[in-house]
Amino acid sequence: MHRSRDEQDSKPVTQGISRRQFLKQAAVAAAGVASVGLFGCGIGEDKLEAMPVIENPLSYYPTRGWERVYRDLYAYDEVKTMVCTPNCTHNCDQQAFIRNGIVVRYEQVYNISETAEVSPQWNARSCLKGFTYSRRVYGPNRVKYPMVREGYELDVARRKGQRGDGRWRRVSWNEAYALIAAKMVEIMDKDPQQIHLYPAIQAAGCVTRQGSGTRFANVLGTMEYSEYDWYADLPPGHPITTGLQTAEHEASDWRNSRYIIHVGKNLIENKLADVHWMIQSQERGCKWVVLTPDYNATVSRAHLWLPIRPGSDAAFAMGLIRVIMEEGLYDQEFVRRYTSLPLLVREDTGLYLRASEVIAGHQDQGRWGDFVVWDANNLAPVTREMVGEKMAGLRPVLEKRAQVKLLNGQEVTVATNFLLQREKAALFTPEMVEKITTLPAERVLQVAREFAAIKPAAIHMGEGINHWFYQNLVQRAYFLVAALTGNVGNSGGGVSNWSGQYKIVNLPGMEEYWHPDHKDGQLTFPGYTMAFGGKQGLDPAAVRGGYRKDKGSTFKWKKPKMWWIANANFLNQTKNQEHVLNDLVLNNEVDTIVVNEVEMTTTAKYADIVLPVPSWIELQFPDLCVGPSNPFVHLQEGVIPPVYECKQDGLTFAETAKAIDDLNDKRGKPTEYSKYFQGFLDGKPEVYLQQVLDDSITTKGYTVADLRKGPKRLKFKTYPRIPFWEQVNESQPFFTKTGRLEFYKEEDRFRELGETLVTYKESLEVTPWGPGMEWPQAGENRNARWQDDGYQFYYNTPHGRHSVHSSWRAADWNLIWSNNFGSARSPDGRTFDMGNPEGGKLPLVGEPQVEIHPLDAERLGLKDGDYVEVYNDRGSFIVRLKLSKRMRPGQVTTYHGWWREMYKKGSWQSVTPLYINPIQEDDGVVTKKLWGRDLVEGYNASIWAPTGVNRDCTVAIKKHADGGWWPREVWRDPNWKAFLEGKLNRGS
Amino acid sequence: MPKVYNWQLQREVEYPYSEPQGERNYQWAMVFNPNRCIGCQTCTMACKSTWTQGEGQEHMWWNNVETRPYGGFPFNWDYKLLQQLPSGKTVVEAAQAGEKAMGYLPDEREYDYPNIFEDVPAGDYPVSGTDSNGYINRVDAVETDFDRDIPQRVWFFYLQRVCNQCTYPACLAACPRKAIYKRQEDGIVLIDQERCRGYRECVKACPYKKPFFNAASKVSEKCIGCYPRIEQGLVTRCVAACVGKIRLYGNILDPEGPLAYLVKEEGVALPLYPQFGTEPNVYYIPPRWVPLDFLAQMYGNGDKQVVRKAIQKYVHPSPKLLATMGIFGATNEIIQKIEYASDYSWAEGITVKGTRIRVPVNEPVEIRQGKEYTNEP
Repeated sequence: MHRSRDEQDSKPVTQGISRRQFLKQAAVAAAGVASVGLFGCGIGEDKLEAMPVIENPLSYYPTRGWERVYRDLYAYDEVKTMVCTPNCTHNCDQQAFIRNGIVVRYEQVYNISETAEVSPQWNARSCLKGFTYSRRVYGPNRVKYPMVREGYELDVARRKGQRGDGRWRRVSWNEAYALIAAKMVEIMDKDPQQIHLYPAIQAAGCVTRQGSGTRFANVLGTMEYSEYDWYADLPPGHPITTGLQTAEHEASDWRNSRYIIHVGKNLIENKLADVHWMIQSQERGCKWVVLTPDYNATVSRAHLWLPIRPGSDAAFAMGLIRVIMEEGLYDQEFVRRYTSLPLLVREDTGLYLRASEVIAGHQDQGRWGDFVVWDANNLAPVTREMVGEKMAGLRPVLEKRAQVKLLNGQEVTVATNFLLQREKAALFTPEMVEKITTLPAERVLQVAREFAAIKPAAIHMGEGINHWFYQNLVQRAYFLVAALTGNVGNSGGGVSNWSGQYKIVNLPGMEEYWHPDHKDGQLTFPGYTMAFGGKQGLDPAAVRGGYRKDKGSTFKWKKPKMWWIANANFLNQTKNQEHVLNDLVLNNEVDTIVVNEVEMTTTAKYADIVLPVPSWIELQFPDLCVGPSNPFVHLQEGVIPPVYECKQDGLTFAETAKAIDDLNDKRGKPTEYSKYFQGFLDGKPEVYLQQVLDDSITTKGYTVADLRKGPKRLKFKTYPRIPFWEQVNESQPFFTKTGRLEFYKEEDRFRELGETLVTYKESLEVTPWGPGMEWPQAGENRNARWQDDGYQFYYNTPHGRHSVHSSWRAADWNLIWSNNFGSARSPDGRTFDMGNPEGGKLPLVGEPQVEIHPLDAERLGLKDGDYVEVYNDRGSFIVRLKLSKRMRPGQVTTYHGWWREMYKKGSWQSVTPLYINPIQEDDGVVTKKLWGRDLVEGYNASIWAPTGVNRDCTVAIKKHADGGWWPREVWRDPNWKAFLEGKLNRGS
Repeated sequence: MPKVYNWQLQREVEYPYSEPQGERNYQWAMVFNPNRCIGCQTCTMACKSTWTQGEGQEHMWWNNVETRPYGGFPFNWDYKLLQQLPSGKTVVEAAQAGEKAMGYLPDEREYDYPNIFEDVPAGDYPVSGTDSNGYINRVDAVETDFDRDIPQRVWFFYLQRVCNQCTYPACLAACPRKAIYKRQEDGIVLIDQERCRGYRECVKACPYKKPFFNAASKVSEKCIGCYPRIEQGLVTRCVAACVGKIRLYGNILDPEGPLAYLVKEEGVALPLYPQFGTEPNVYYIPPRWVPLDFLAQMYGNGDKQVVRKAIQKYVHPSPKLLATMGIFGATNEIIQKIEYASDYSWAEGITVKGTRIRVPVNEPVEIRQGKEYTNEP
């Protein structure tokens, strides 16, 4: 039947239909499948009609009234501002265009420069994810009302069915709260710490969203999972070196660099909102060196790409360190003033020499004693405060080894940290670096000399590095390169780590909000639960890479009986997923799982109770958010009423607290938890926001009303924010024992495990040589897993541009664009299970893929588009294959975050390991508490803690089935040669 | 057949219609800078969420970004045409009997996989040695230096594509119903949605493959240059959305405007496949790391020197060009004029609405007074 274009398009998407109907239609449209074949229909019959005379349509067209069609389509009722705030760290203001109560599209906001008083270069943040957000909000995958799994009973013995079986019962909010409260009271009677909260990510919703979960955990005294460490975003080499969690140069400082080394970080793909600052550095003459195993968008802009062997990054840095030290290219003043390199170390004990040990009459003042340098011909004491200008004219000798007589009469050999490090680095000749990294030896010399000659020079690293077992050595090594060349604390310099939306530190007033009346729960590393929390548990020694001691005593953990996960796709994103599902989830080992979610994520599907929370455009209460790459504090607000029965996280915690109080009243054991959530119960949680703003030195003076006009700039010492500016420019101590950038670590486990000095160790899995060993020993040993078991593919799971972790993975437009096989027609007919009570399957308009080099494919008999099984001893998954010469032969890459239900079998997390580096469980390491100036020893959640390790992973690949994918492997086509060489057409 | 003058080819070309009467003084135009593009597809989603959410439009991406050389939407669009098109002729000049322009109609499957071969490079991974086990024991470092004529040996870049709102559109030339026209006031090329009967001659003729057939409504449609926004003084959705700051919209016929400066004065931006002869109005700053031979075919009408000069300008920007590039993406209003500091330390865009937006070339470091302030709270 002929339907004229005019009829269709003159009716805008939502005009004349109810909101309900629209939602229904949106759900259908979100399926993304063309309901009419593109070419299935013939041409509409040409009606016999009088044609107006059109002589030259370049000049004149008579009937232009129809143009209203698109003006109507463009029309909207109002525009409101909201913040896109996923776990990508950016927090981007967007205008939401609203028509008939529906947010039909988005655009960036262009007034950041005015409200935050910054350059208009900051304008236009937010990326494709923000622009497709409505595909999620109105998509078919929403959690619409509270649900309890069919067969769930408070008593485990009476339960029926199985988690993840997709059978749900719609319940009222009160029924859901009653169940949760009953279960919590039951557990709290014995031990509240067996309730584990996971409200992530707080910095993206500080007060009324995720952050309210932390307040809840502390008021009730439960355990709470840290996130920044578990997600392997925390770079432990940073606190090891500086005592600070980490800190990075703000984006507006990036283009001040004249030389940048990118180490395992694809900033172009991962910092979409702010990376223009980085790219503009090139327009100002900055040179980029990129170390990464695979070719990617960031490499495409590199002046020098160093295609390094996966996991060997620290070896290249060691090579740089050797050249800089041997050739005297280091900044002597900087090294003397701000680093531990001039400090003397006792070679007998491996501890720093203390002033009170050798200087008669010296009373150590520092909490960890005072230190000693060799000044001209004397031993001179150095306190932690004697940094920079405060060195009182000392000019310590950097290279010195000597016998000294201690006050107790003992004769010991001492050496400077510098000399010890130089000796350690001596092994890493350019030739040795070539053997380890496969990079040409001469490039070590080139990069070292260039980096030392040009200031300011910066190093950018991130999650690609942070997921290795020995990541701390990589981070320490590159920090040493920066410190040797005086590139810390200066504009355009520094070592910046890009991973994690962890910047809650930007709002110190959160401390009071999270700990009202000094209430406190217990933070813990989630990896302990995932590894050891189930029935069987993993072998602790294997988890720790062969190390047999337990965690340090400052690291606390108890087995969970209950999980309350808010806004985190915890189970989809867990490492060693097969183990986690089998050992903790499917067997009810964790008694009860509660999930707050917007969409039916993989995690929600495995829950017992699911609570619907609003999307960002439906927020009931305002909230604050902050992030690392930009200097802004944003107020997030909803722009439409909740579409479904959603309640904001803070309200779910508040009403649960109330339900617990009511239950306890009835039992005659009254509690007062709900009084801490009265703001939510009164519907006025703004009071908490204003209190946080007032209590934060970074926001003091700003009001909630101010922020309604747009983001404000956080009040830091400098803009752009330059980490360690005060240490270097105002001679304040770093947050380490020595007050200096610490490149020698004397703590127990560093001495025990041979990591006092900065060095390089082979990966546990990704090496044919001795795993976990230093060179040259490593080269004389073999890795049985690699050589005998045949797991020789390095498994790489980077972050892509089309999703934020697992968010947007089920949004149809993102699905289409995020892989080689995405098509609105879903030509292969695959579907995935939505898992909500309405049931039904959604067409997979795109699907998970792995990439390998065509050479590997030939060897394994695989073609582009085939289905392959990726496997190792931990599990396996079936996935579609994409061939690309950007891959290093022997590397397999899958962008992470795909939902488990989108695979034919397993998931990308089925093969990943769950390792814990025991160095990161040392009780003696000194770091700064999250807020303030106090230093602590040992565990410091998300600052000094174990981290996830999922790069240290090898797999094997075999064919599962033909893919039947028709596009040719064009690079094999000889006709393409002429095209690539520009010979196909020579112009007209 | 009449002849019209194509300034990009610097010659008269054949075209079914003669030059429009009266001087045109406004032509919708854009400059794209692929050197800055991050391949994020925000432009793509901005367009999709505005214009092509309806039934029959599922396969339509009026704006798309493709990885070159291998990617392309529809599949292999330019490779397919270039295989047919003889050197020395425009698509109109090369037309066969029964057609107004040489072209082809993509089949249904070619509209699948809009992001095919994302990040797949030309060239090969630079392995230079393997040991007896077959393990890689040496690779080459890959150096790129435009000044020394060293392109990247493994390369891809992102090509941003919208309708070029051509001065001599092939779609317009091919329409048997004269249902495609070029607006006098801004040069936007439109398919009259009431008049079109879906013959798909425009789909076949457009060398850039930007008209699409809608099987639900049975008419063809294409990028409309966001005229409802242009009419309000706002840049197009794709330009406003560009978070990589690679796009600048303007009237290329305004000699005082930034587009004329970039394209005609600096010569830093070049048209896409000018040899097609349609005088496209989107100009690209060619990616500096890509082999010139390939770029000459794509942007230089076969001339490497034109491309080399453009890249030279970009790699070593004049103070004025550097300041101008700061204006990209600074506002969503149409900039009609830029003023500069005498030393080019800033550029100030003046929009058609009279808004002034000043962007400094360098950002000074500010230090906040007061001991209570810190960078590490």
